[in-house]
Amino acid sequence: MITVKDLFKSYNGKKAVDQVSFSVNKGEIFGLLGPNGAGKTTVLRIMSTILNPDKGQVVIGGFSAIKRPDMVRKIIGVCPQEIALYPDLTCRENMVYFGVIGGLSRKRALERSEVILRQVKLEDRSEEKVSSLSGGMKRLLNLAVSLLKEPRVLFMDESTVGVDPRSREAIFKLLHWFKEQEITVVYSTHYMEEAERMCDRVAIMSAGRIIALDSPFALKKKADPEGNISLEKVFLKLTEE
Amino acid sequence: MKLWFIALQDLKLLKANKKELLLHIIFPLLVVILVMTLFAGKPGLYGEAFFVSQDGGALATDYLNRIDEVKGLKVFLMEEEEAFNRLERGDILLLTIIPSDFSEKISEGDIPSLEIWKRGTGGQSGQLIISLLHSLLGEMLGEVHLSLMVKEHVQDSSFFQEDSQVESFMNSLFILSRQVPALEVVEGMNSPSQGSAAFFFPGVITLFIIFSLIFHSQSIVAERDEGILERMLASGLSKGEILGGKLLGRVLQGFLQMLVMSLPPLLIMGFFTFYSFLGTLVFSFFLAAAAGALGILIGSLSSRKEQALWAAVIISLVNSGLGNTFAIPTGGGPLVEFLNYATLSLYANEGLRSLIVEGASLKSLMPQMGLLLLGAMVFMALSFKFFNCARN
Repeated sequence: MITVKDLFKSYNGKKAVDQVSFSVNKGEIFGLLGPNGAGKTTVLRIMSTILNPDKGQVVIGGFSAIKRPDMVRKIIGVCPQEIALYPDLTCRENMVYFGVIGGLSRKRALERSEVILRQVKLEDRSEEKVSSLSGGMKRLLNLAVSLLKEPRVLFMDESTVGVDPRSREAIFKLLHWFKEQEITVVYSTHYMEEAERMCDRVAIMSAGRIIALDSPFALKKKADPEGNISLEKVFLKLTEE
Repeated sequence: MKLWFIALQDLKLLKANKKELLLHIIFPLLVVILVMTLFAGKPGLYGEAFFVSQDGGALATDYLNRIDEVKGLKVFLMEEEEAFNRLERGDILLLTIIPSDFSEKISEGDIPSLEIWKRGTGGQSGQLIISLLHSLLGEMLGEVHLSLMVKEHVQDSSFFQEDSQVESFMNSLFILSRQVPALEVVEGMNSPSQGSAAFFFPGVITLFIIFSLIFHSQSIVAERDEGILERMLASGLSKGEILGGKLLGRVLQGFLQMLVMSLPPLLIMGFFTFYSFLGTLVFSFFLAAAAGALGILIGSLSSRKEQALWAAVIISLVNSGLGNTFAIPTGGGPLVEFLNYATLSLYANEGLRSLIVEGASLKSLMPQMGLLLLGAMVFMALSFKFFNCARN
């Protein structure tokens, strides 16, 4: 579903992403792990067609993200790290706005909003302003907006940062549902426990490069054949090296 | 369709935030009412006339007194050195020197030579004052000629014993004629649109629409920082659609501001004719487009909200201080003149004043509308080049 090949991006001469290559299968939940500044968000933003790489290729659903970003945007959903919503508008108004500018008719955007708000358990708050929601609810709504167009591929950037346990659990449930629906997810996080629990495969990034790529189980097995090691320990060991 | 949706969303955001609604719509409305109330009144000459008198004679004093009696004109008598220093500094724009032989020449019926020094055109009221000086001098000379003629005709009669008696008699006649002039000029207005308040009204409108670019420029940076622009781009909008929608939103907001600010002059003060009101609304689209595009350009070039704020404040201040917003700048030399021509306010104020005060047709304002449109297009082309949805 996604092929990333020899991706390179630098800012003011400083390498942010260096020779990154990986592929993600349809319906797979793929984790991008790494410390702050490892290059995860840059890779996600290139895949989301927001940034252009200096070199390399990104193909999503058969379309080049660099040459045909318009086609890629039709099949992707993006949940950014920030709460990219209008705080003075209600949950529903935000959903309808982003739905319509994403190409849905107003009627369809309203229908989708109802369904998704119910799914993220925010239907009772639909007429409330975003500014009045808790941090966790805002995160859920942020994710809900990215699902409006029924994307085939979803990019989630640190979607559980600062989220209370209840909202985090709701996000995990959604991830399970994505899996059932065969939605491909690329998920960046620095919570190892989350990645271990949710992701089919993970790529561990450090200083703009992928230093390990496999399933959490395989990575743990490589680090300790007995398997008595957490993914966090594997991560610390790899990033120290 | 999407452009309209983005534009209407911006209006919705304005409505959703009561404080912003107050700042953008209600506050300007209150200021319009205040300014209109302050400047409501009859038109007239308001000016200051500066003199150096080298003649201490009675007729020179009489001349100055007559000028001082003109309604709305204030006379200042100065020392020569101080007067020329102030003229040099640009503190005064018109100086009249009454020569030492002024009284002598007038008393003989000869034309005295007034020395008039100007900076540029002599200021807004300069031409009026010069015309007034000529007319009062003519009046005095006419009186002297008449007295001389009367003296000549009666010198052999036994009616007047001495010249001074003739002079005294004639003077009393002239004073009487001045008190009861043959022609009385009554100052008035055909329409309130010709009053001072109507002159200041376009300045108030442009001031608020131009100052709105402070808000517009910052909102672009804020939406970029909050990831909203990235989300819009990833949703499927092109950069051009985002910019177009934002501009349309600014135009609608400027139009709304103009509409609300025009209501008191339309409904209470009677500035507008039906045509000038419609013309003003149409013209507002061009002003709002140029100001909105400039705000978007500032936002596109700024990487932080503080940068956008500072740049927009400076540009708004230059536009409002110059641009004939409340007065026509007369000092400052070529730089100020150039800056004045570079402001959007200049073309907006010229256009709106022509519409409201002079009752000009929209067609005659094509140059102003064209320049505002050109400004909007240039600002949008530059915005397209520098606009970036991605956060830094």
